[in-house]
Amino acid sequence: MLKLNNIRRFLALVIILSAISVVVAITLKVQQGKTPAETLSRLPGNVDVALQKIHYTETKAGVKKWDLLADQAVFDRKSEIIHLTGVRLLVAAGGKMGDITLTADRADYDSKSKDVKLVGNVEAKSVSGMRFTTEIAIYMANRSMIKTAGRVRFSDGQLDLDGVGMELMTVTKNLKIMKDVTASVRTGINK
Amino acid sequence: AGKSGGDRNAQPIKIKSNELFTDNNNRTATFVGKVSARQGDMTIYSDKLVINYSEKDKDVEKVEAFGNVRVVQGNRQALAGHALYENKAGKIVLDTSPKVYQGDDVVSGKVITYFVDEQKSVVTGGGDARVEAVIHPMDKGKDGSAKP
Repeated sequence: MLKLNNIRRFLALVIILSAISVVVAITLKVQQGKTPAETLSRLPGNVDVALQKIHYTETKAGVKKWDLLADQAVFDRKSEIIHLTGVRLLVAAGGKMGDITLTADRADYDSKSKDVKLVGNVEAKSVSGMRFTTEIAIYMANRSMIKTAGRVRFSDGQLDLDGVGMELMTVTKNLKIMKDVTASVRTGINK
Repeated sequence: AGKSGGDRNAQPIKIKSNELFTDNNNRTATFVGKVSARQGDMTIYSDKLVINYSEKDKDVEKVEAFGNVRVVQGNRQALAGHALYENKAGKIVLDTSPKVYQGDDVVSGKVITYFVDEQKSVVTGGGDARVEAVIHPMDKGKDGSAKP
């Protein structure tokens, strides 16, 4: 008789444990359904769109004007400005300069004026051998001009110079340095 | 130009100024405002300086200085209203009241050609600007040797 009771208790225990495990399994399943695989960080209040690894091309009358590549782009609809980081701007300048490549830590692209403001370690190189470095530079697409108000170091194979404030016309390669010019003009280049 | 001319000619021209404008169509670089341009032992000061590049090899063809021009080289100094420096030929043509001083001596005229690599200047007169020269004979010491 004693033996029968033990078997009954054992079976009851097994049934209870099975019921509990079923309930736990269901609960876990439900929980999993709620939490997404990867939680996205919330975008700042003024940001509408954030993109990674962007490549933006600006054309005019079917002709490519420039390419803008960046590690990240954040679009602020209110100011209509795209804030970019890890930036490379390829200007299809043509003319005497050839194409120009500008790199910078950050940039702001104003979609109304089409100007690109490059900020932080700005470096520029052109196919014709022109180079300059500065801290902040603005590419004004409509005027085919690159402009800076700060200190700039420039060279183009004939002229090496240092000054403050620059306007460089990307098509004609004409250059204006506003202040504090120190230059070295090469002579006897082809001796 | 002598050997030194060849060396000078290949040296870069170091320029300081307030502003700079380049014009690639006309192949010029214009420096404006308190300009000083040094090449080797010679320095040109002026209000404005225009570098002209040659079409063929983009090398400096000539340098033109405008306004309060002063050329300083060792104990020689030239003053003029306008000067044209031909880099390869090693000479500066000065006009608009040109004067060249060497120590206490001075020459003036209508146009002075100043030779950079030779201790020589050629003065030409004309119109109302006759050639004038003021030469101070060396003082003779007791033993007849010239005192510096």
